[in-house]
Amino acid sequence: MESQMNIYTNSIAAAEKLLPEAFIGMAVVKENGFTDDQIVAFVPDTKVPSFDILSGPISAKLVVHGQTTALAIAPDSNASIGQIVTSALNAVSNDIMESSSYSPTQKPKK
Amino acid sequence: MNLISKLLNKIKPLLGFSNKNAVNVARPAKPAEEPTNIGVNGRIDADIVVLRDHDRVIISIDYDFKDVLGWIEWDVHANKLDLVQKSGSVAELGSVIPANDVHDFANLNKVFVITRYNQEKIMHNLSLVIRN
Repeated sequence: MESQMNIYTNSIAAAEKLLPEAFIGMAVVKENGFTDDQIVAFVPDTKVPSFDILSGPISAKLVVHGQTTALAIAPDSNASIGQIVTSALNAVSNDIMESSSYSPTQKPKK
Repeated sequence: MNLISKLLNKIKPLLGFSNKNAVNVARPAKPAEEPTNIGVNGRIDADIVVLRDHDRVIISIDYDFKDVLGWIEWDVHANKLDLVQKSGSVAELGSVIPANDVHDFANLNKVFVITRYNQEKIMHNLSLVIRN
């Protein structure tokens, strides 16, 4: 089943660093629920199969500093969430760099 | 004259005038107060990601808040997020959400916030207060 998400961030580098844990956080909330007085600690870069959230592809609207692009994340059971996110964002980053409307002021922070 | 002088000496202490022969009793010094406010005030420069899937929102902030987190305030008009801590300190996060998408968040009252805690990542369930 495909998920549709919106992602907002201040840089591609921030997304690379923080999206894996955000996905895991979302998985925790979806699969286990979350009570008001609960604080959950977790390892951000977990293998995919533990979480149904990544059992199907994710289409996301990625907004980096107000600039919108599309992001497709395809799960790979051999990869960690961090690796999947990084490869997806690298593709987005390359698209932005190759885009004719690309402006140097929009250069993603690496 | 001598009598007046003796009388004055007797009533001076009663009126609060110092007596040269009086012994000063030193009051114990107050212990130095240790700073108790460990919260973060003002703008923080931290990477931030907001992930929204329908009515669930995860905000990941790459920052180690020493204080206990209280709630998130979102000033829609100024489009900025503030994180209020239990000490009352307010950390300004700015915002990465464009004005066009503000309406998607209007009905939320809870957000999940991930922060650093030493070497760990922890997630809190916080109230979202929206100010228009």
